[in-house]
Amino acid sequence: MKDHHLSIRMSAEQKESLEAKARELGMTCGQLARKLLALGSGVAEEAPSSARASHEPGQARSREAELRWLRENRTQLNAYGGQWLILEGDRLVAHGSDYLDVLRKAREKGVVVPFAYRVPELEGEVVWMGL
Amino acid sequence: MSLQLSFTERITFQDSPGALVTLSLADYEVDMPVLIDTGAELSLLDGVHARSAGLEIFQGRPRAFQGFLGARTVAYQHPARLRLGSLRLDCELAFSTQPLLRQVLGLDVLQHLRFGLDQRAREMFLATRPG
Repeated sequence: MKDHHLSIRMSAEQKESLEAKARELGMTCGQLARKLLALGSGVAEEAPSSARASHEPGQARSREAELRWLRENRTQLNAYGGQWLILEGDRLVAHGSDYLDVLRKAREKGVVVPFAYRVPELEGEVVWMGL
Repeated sequence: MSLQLSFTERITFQDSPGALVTLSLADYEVDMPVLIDTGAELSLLDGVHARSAGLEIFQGRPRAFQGFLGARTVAYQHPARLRLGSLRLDCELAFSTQPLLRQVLGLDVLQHLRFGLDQRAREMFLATRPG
């Protein structure tokens, strides 16, 4: 299935009502909207292509492929210092310093729920500590 | 003396204790790795996520963050949903107005969990608190 992004204008009351209902059902607003559209249109609800079959309400998606990519490309990450990366499986889908722009590019490539990671921009070896 | 605690999640990490979380804000959802910081009273996430959800960061509840090295910043709390493994939390999370080098989960989130750390084995253990 090709994913599309749809924005809907609504009043603040409608938005609050939708968010409250989604919270009550343990869903995101997007999931609830897709469910309502499927009910209203008679078109069977399909999971977005980036949603994993193992994904159940309240259960996190597996991002093992993305985490492995970060581990395996650790040394090359310096080239992306200060940038946001969006990964899908073992693919780097989009990157750049402006997250909203990176997110837009990833959405254009069909990513619905991004896996996002910001590479710190560091000079030399550092010791990490709190704030 | 021998102590036994039970957990429901076992998470491995590389260097610092971190976990994959799913953040839901309105109809925006993102998966991302975050650092577990037991020294942070509040969680702090990058404001780009609030902007991606169409939120006006400054309309949130302002919270002053003071680092022990002297750095100080203000971030703004907004209602959010966080999933960590099979655990789901509806809570208020603070979003920065400036880019963050690392995003952290602090005691505001950890207080909802039982949290265990085996740094030598690079493993974390989580469970929702009974009762």
